[in-house]
Amino acid sequence: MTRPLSASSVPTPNVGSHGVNKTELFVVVFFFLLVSVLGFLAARWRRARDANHLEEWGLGGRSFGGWVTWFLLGGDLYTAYTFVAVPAALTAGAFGFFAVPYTIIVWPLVFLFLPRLWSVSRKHGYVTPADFARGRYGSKSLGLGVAIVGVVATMPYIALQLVGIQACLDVIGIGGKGSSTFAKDLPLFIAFAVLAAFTYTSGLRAPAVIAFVKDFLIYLVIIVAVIYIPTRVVGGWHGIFHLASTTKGKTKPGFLSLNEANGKANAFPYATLALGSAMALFMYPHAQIGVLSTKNRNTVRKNLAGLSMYSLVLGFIALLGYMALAVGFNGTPTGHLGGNAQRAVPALFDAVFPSWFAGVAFAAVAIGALVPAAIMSIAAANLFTRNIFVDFIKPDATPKQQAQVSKTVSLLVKFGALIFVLGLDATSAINFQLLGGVLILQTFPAIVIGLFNRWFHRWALVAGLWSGVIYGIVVAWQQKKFAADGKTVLQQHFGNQIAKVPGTHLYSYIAITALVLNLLVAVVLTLVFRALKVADGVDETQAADYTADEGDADLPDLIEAEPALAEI
Amino acid sequence: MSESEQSTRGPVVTPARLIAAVCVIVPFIAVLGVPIFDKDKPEVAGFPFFFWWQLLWVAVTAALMGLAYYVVRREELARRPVAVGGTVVAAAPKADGHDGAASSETDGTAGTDGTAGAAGTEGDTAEEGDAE
Repeated sequence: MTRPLSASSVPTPNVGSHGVNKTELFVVVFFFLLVSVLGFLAARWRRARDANHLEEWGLGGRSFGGWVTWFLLGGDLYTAYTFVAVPAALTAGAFGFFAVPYTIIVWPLVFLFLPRLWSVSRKHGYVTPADFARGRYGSKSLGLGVAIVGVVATMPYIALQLVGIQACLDVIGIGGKGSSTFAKDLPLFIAFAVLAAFTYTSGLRAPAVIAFVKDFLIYLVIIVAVIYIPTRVVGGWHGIFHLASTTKGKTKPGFLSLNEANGKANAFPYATLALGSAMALFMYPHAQIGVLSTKNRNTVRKNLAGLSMYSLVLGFIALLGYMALAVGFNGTPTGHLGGNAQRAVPALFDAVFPSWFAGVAFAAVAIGALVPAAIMSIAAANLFTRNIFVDFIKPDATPKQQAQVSKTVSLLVKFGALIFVLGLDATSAINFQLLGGVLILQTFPAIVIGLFNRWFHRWALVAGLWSGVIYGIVVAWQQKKFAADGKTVLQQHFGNQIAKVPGTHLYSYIAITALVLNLLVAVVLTLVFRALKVADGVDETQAADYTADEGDADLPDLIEAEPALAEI
Repeated sequence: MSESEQSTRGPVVTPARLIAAVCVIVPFIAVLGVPIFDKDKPEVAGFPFFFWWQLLWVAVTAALMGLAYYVVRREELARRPVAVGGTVVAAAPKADGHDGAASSETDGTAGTDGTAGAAGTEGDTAEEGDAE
């Protein structure tokens, strides 16, 4: 009936060719309403006596135990990046699989430095990475640098979440048409408004509660997808890899491994993308929030083995990109996706699942984008408030004023993200996250090296940070995006995050090149400043602070959460 | 200064820390050494080598992280009671608060006296290479 290794049992309708799929829309709206109600109710969950305090709104009162942490950190990893951007990157070849080594090595990195960050933050009441940089080096300017970079780097990452939601809505059949920007992006604005509203009222508690629903939906969808879809493709996994890597019977290079593509040239970019992304992840203010809101020093370490499960699932989600290729979807103009590879996974779900379950899957993806977007905007807002507003604008702000400023800024950050979505090419959304990584990785020396060693001079770190950031932005700006023919320029700027390392033949993730420059500047200037005896700041932390733990006698008090619930 | 600090914390390199260090380093080599796995054969369960190797390392890394936590934690617990039994327990944290902000030169004194130092983990090796 069918030829061997064909995917003929799966239809591949063009995205946008049918009207609104009402069943899908109904299911998505249902789950949206459900999580919205949960989001607003979350404000009452484990409520502290002083809900308007920043430590409360922004860190959930530092009361989260193992389970909540597992879900909250999951919120950092399972985002639209995982569900939409990475599979979309795989539709262009095995190179996109770098997300897997990235999420593998992130855990050993975490094992190394996060307990120390937790301890010193708990001891000194640090809420943001910039707090630590400022305290450790006695330098408000360094804190300011870390804070500005953190806020800006978060925006493209939030933008990626909005792109993910948009892709689902496109496939359902709303939006994506119409001529005006407003009609086209209306669903995006709606999703944006819901997100903004519940973050504003509930703070970190909202995404923490919704994360439970989100992870349940995601696991359900992924398990079903990974077991069911291969049965729909003749030849199972072998068939998927075979079909994804061939076109009209010919093997395409770079799909079964990197090697086939253009020799060994891809190995270094692949490794640097993985390494740079891994080092960058826990520099993001939102990822640190997940860690700082835990109850004790070892909560995260203890959960690392469990957290690794996220990476495994991420790997299989990534392969949804190949499944989409196998059934005939791809990012080319004839690939049934309207030329936008970001729609690959939603289109695949739409094609293989019955409408009601496709609706559940879209809800999982959309909520999976909302939760991290909420956490990210809260984290960026904390950062602004603590290290820009209080340090430089209004030093005597009351906790209540601080919480208010944070809430307002969390809105502004989301608007910034919206500008990224509308302004940059959204058909390769993984670029958004990688661009954020280029920026945020430059805070690595001040934070991670600072946790172990205070050799660097504060002004050298400030100079290094800005050198890295400026280099990264300039080089990223210069990267053009080419069409498949290698000549036609699709996008003039920010088209790619891999560039040649100056003075070599190697291509590397820009973030890593910029970090090397950053470190060089910091080392050289440290020697210079020491020789000139430029005043080094006062370090307010001490050796023992880095190993402090819950229950130590000298820790500052926390705002009390309701005791009965603090055990979850 | 840093020498005296380390001496009261027991040896910096212990078998537990060595094991933890290996657990932490090995995944980097396995998944960043792209030439190791950049080929499509042999295939397992339909997965090209490139893919199953990396997916396999997710599970291996999980196991290594579990092991690293286990050995480090066990050592921490073994050390802690010794320090808690010491007489400096109540005094040290106070000294902390007073000296702390005054001068970075005094850094590490509290750690020398023992309490929290006992909770030290593998990270302490590079502890506080402070200003001078």
